[in-house]
Amino acid sequence: MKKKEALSLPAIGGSSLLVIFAVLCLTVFALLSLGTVQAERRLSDKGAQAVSDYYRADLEAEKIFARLRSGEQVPGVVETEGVCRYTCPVTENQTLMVELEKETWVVLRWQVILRMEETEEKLDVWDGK
Amino acid sequence: MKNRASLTLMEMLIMVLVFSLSAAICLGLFAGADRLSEETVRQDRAVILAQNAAEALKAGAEPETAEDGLYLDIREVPSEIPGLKQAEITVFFEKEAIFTLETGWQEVAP
Repeated sequence: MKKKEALSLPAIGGSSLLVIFAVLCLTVFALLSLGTVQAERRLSDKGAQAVSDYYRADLEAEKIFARLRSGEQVPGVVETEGVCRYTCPVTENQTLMVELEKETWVVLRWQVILRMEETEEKLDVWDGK
Repeated sequence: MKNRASLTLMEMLIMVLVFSLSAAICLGLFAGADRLSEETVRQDRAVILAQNAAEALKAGAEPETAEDGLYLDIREVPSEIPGLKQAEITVFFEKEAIFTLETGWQEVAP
């Protein structure tokens, strides 16, 4: 009886499974670390942009302050009860609000606020009627 | 028997090849991630250094011009508005500008 030596497909042995597992682990960890670092980079870029935006608005506010001190009438500056008020936009949602005492040029307020605080919109509450 | 042994050997060779190829690619990814992480840390430090320098200039103090491989270049910008002083702060790392900031402050009469 002749034994037909059939060419059987090479079975994947234990070592091959180990190698496949190792390759999968390496790939997953490498992609995870790359993804994490890219997210950190985006956060860092946003932080740098936020600082740049603030100092741009700060410079603008200092320019208006200097012009007011030199006696110039600056458009956008509101004067009430000896206090000069003006704003400089920082981002879409933030504004630098400045209040200066006109006599002594003391800075009363130099604060970044959210745009919606500036407009002080109030929603009507239903009173039951 | 001989056939089976040669098939096993071929399988092992292919596995070794696949592993070395994927290891080379993954090591490249790890190295890239490490380089990007270093750049991010450097950028963060540059932003803080520039911010500290800007606040020191505004307060009339002497700013720190170098820290851990990063160095500052502070250039006075001529201002058209009287009573205002302006400066441009640039943070460099190995002759490459990483971060730039412009600031201004009121000139205090002596």
